[in-house]
Amino acid sequence: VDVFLNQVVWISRIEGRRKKTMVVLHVRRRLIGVTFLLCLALIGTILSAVNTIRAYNQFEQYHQRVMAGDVSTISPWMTLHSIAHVYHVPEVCLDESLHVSNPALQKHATLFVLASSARKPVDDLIYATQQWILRYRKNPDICDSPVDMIKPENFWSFPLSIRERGAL
Amino acid sequence: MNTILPYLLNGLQEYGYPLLWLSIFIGALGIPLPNSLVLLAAGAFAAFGDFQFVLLTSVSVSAFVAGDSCGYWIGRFWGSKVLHWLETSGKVPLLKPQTIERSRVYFNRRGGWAIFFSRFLVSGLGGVVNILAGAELYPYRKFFVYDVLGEILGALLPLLLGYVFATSWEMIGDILGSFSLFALAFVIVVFLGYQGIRLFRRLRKLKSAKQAFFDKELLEASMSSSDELSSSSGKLPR
Repeated sequence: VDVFLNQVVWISRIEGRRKKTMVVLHVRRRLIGVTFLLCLALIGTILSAVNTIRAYNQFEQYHQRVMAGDVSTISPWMTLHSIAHVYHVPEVCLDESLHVSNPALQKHATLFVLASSARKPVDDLIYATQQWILRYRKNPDICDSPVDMIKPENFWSFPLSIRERGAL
Repeated sequence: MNTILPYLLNGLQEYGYPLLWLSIFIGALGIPLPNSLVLLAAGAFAAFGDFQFVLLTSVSVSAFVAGDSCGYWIGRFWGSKVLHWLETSGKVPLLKPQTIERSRVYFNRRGGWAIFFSRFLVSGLGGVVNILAGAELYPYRKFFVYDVLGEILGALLPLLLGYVFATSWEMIGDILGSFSLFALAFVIVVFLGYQGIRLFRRLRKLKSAKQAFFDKELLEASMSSSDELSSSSGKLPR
């Protein structure tokens, strides 16, 4: 009986030892998993931080260009009203020069919509607007003689080469 | 530029406040719409004199709160049923009833902060958090308070930035998008770091307990072997 009891005690000890080792292994495995995920998350954090800083730098440069009245910052979301406001050109004059006579379009249509309604690329309209603003800056009298640009036969055949856009 | 954004912006110009309300409401339900960008643009349009800032803010906040509340009640009616089914059926091996119960207790304790921060810091998670809050049976009054507070910030922040920086709102949108990702990644790092430290401490504790157990065992074994040797009663069992 003593030998049997002794054996039972030893078996329970071995079992306890095995259980303890298993728990340690389980926790260790979880720790390794969490450390791996932490490394991935850290890489993600660093990348997103770098992206945020880059976006901030781009914003600063862009905002300076906007403040300087650089016409290359004209975007498809802008309405003629907002363009007149930002680039300090008379709105009526801009409407007339682009031949947008519909009052609803004058006030509310974005360049994207104006171009879509004429079924032409928005870049062409942006380019024409940029050109008009540059011309207006050189010679404000341009208002008196509107440029016939938005009529399909004139405006949409406006010469547009990559070189010209680059030069702008 | 986002594909749908030009149409939304034109709609905003054409139909004004009602379209803004509808767009924000649909976005708050969890359908992916670029509402932060729309709000930035609305702020910019307000700077050009097309909209009134105060009216924009109230329309945005009301639309956000209405959409969030709808999401919450959808979660409460259908999400809670799904959770109950998961809890009782046991068909998903990883989702044990204890896990769901634990998440419910945890959400009731800390869910307010999740609701508040997901309104403006990680706005992409807003729709999911609404449904989750409903499914976890989070009290609606508490949800409403955290939601309104969060959405006031969530609407004011892009509107103000759009109003102040007007033409550069697209760039501000890029910054907000990257920062939102950064905030999400940072929260995950903090959470995993905390879990890692807890596990590390537990491992150390377990190791020392294991060592103490072995030492005790060794001591007992040596004591019993010396007794056995002295009495010559037999061998140690293997």
